[in-house]
Amino acid sequence: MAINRTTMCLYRSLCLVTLTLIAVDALAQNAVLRGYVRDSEDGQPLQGVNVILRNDGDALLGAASDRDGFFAISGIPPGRYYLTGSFVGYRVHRDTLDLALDEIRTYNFDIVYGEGMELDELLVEAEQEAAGVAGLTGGLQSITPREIALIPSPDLSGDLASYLTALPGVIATGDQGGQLFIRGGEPTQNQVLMDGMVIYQPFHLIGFYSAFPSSILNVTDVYAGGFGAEYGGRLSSVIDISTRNGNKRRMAGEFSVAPFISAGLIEGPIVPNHLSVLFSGRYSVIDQGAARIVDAPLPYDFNDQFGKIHADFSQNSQASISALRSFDRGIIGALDEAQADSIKNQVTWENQAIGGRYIMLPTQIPVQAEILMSMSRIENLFGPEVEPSRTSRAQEINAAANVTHFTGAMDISWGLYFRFSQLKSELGGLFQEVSEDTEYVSETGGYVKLDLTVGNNLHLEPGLRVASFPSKGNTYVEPRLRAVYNIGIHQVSVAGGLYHQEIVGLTDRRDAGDVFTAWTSSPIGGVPQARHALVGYQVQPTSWLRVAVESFYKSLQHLSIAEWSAFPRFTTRLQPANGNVIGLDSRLEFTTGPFYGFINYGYSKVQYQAQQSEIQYWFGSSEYEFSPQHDRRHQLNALGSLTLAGFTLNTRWQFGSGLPFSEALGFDEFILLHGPTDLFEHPGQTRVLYSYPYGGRLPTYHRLDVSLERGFELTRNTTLTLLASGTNTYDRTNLFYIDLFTLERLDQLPFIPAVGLKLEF
Amino acid sequence: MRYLPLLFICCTLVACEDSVSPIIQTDRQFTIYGTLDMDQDTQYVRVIPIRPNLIATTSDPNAIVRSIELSTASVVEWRDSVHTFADGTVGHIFFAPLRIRAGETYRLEVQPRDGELITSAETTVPRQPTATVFPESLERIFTTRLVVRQRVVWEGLEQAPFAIEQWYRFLRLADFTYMDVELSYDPLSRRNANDPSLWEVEMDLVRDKDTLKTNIPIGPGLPLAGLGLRITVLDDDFVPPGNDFDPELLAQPGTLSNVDNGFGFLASVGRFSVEWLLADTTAISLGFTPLDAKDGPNKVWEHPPGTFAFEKH
Repeated sequence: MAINRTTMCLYRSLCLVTLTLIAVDALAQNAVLRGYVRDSEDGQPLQGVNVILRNDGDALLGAASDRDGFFAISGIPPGRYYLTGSFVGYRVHRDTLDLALDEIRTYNFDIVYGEGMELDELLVEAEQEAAGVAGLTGGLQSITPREIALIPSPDLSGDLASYLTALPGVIATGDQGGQLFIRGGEPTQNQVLMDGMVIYQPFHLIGFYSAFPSSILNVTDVYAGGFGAEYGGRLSSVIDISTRNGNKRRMAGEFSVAPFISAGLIEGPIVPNHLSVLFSGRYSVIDQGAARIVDAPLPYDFNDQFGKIHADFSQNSQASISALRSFDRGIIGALDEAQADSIKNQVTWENQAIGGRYIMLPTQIPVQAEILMSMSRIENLFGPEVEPSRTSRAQEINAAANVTHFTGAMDISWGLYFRFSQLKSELGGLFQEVSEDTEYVSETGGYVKLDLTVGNNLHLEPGLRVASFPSKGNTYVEPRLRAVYNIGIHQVSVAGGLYHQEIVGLTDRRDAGDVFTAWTSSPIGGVPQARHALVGYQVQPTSWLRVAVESFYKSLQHLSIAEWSAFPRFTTRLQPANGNVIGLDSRLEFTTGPFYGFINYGYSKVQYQAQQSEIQYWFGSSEYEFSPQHDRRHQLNALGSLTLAGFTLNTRWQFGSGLPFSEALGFDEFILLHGPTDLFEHPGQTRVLYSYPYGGRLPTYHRLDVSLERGFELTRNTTLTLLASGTNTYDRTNLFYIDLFTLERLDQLPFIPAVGLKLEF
Repeated sequence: MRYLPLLFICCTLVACEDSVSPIIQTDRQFTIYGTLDMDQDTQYVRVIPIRPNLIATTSDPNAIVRSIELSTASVVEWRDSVHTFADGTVGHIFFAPLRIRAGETYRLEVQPRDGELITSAETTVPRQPTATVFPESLERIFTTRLVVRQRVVWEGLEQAPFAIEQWYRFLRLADFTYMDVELSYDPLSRRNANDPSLWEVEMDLVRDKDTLKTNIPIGPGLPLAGLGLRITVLDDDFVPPGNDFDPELLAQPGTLSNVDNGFGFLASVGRFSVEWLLADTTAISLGFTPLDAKDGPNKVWEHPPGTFAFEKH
């Protein structure tokens, strides 16, 4: 199908911009300094390292390294400069550089962890702003393994999911099911990227875990909204994960055991300092561990494996290949052994992804170029694995090229991408409007993003993304904007944009125990669309306190939700709906001596508006507005971490106001009277006499988790860590959901004491 | 900052409440389904107690069911029967000997034995329409093809007939018994374009004869004793939204429902017939043997249709 004129026009504009940038690059007068900063211990890239250039006068230039450890300082007048590279907890790296006119120099350096740490007086760029829980900038929160380690967990491997659920605006409907809602968005509206690969359903059935153990993570950027032009294809949020490279200096690893999961990781150099590998694997041991402790059925089985090869070809180019597999199988809401053994309602999903990434710094022009290739796959089954009643498969091939030009006045990023998706569903009566044929969806597009500083304080990132679906004849133009204004201890940030999602995941939210997701192209009405707007304020009034507040708004249109029906478990028709999300996140973060803590409060209100002609006779109007299942209005998270005498005590208290659920007047039988009817021939079909959709509220949720850790250094590189933890320490009976069909109540996890052991070498 | 402890305490206090019931208290106690049928001597309705659990019990619904003919205020008490359906489930079907009359309004009341709130529904049986049978029209096309049509016009129907049945009655000379033969297809019917209160039925007698001829031995031993037409009319409320009997739609509580203090639907069905004799010349032209007066009783239609051996073709 021909690409329409608008698309062609935009592509031409993109090409023009590219040519212009190359010409500008060629005409550059000043020097450019760029390079990678790594940890001397293991060769890992370090994000947030401040690289400062000073000359003999007062001139000061600088940049902060990104998640690849990459920094670039452009527009440097020729001359002698004194370079410092500083990072919290590391020794300052110093060097003297003579830069000539038009020189483009690649300067890679390692910094050493340890004493002698100095804090530079200048924090240069935005990389550091989003670190820490109160480092919320325009919806962006960066997470490192160090922060994940603060969250009490029943094991020592640590997991990204634990930290995400401590953030305001991130809602898990329960500690079972693996469903995370971010600022009103559905789990399938969150884009999860790992080293550029799309991961469809990465969260495991038990809410503490995802396919991302902290041991494989480098930096995770969570955009709860307002993400920039470099991201697309999802409506609500982006979780962009970059993984660690394998240790390039020596063989290392870790193994841990705990009641939920056993984990192992091994990494090391194949060619020292140049080529490394990392393998990680985790397997649930719930049957042997947690289920025995709680003395209740926990019919969950999950595992994940990750591998990465990373190579530094030269000081200007590097490449990596990453692969991930995750598997989940379980029955949500099994109340007894008989239900746990029945595989009729078993849900299974498996993610597979493999991708390659190549980064280069051309020697003659001041740009960084990245090429990404990946393939992702999800298979989702409901029912017995041999003969499931529903299946859904999605497979996606991605190719993308991203280029950033460092022009001095601003950085200009642009990229092109191509995606090809194959979607196939056999739904056994669920989602009648969804095509059960195999669908093929191709998507191509590009983006341009400027990264400029106006004056000394205003940092702007305007961008434009074009997404075209030749197979469907659709093209979308999506303007985006992110801006940060810094003045003294204050920071104000805004972000917003327009977003579309052509490939959607459908889950029947009327039944909390059913997390089967069908991936399909948008089934009814227009393509789902969202508009985001957010405004944030951050202040650091003292060295030990940081405060952040952010308000947000999301408008969601053309959503597909399950029709309201008296037969929820037997059939599902879809109806179009629109939604609005408004909310406020506030965060207080304390750091003083051996104590670290934060308190987060989140308010959000999610409203859906739907139109369904059938319900006008029951509710009086065919239009109805309701708060969906994930509308948690109030959320409070308090975390404290105290390190004393070699022990680390972590505590976390969570509070959430009740989630909506549907009440009913009772049950009866429905008999279809179609003219004269012989009542003796028609037993009728059991029907739920629902009250207004999601008109009730479940009780509030709260839980206290505590963990105590102590590490013992056995040799220079060998550490044994012991953990004792308590999940839901005061054994609060938190309700997960009530099955309206059976009126059975399913509670979340009770008090779980656990001990764990980790050996690192 | 100083309010933080207060906030914490408030949250904790609020959080102590953890009981929840998904079932809301309601006054509605019964669901009623049934159609009162002019064709029946005994009427049936299903009474389903609204229950707080998914699984139905077989226990006594503890209900008194009665019907009232509003114009005469005559009350009929209904009796309960427990019926096991083919799928093994059990339901309570109340019944009463009752012949309903056209144009009458009936009120069905279901009252708990130990309660006062009455679940009720009213239905008005369709009024008796009048039927006019027009003389048959004979036409020959190209001298060989015979076209014979007969128009029957119904007046006083509020809505289109739900069903139209047509049949032919023959006399078996072998044993002097009548045989009604119902045709499996409906005749052409439509609302009159000029007068919407009229409903026209047009019978294609040649097509009927051809159909009958392939199934029964039309001839001297089986003279034609008459023709009949019966329409089934649903009451005025028995119209689903969009005229579509879609179970997904109608299952929504309140949709196609006329029950007060409860759920379900009580409907009524009118059945109206017209019968006539075909002119001998027309019968002969069609290939039937006309009924001679000596062949049988004079009043062919003194027995209602369906009284005799009934065959469907």
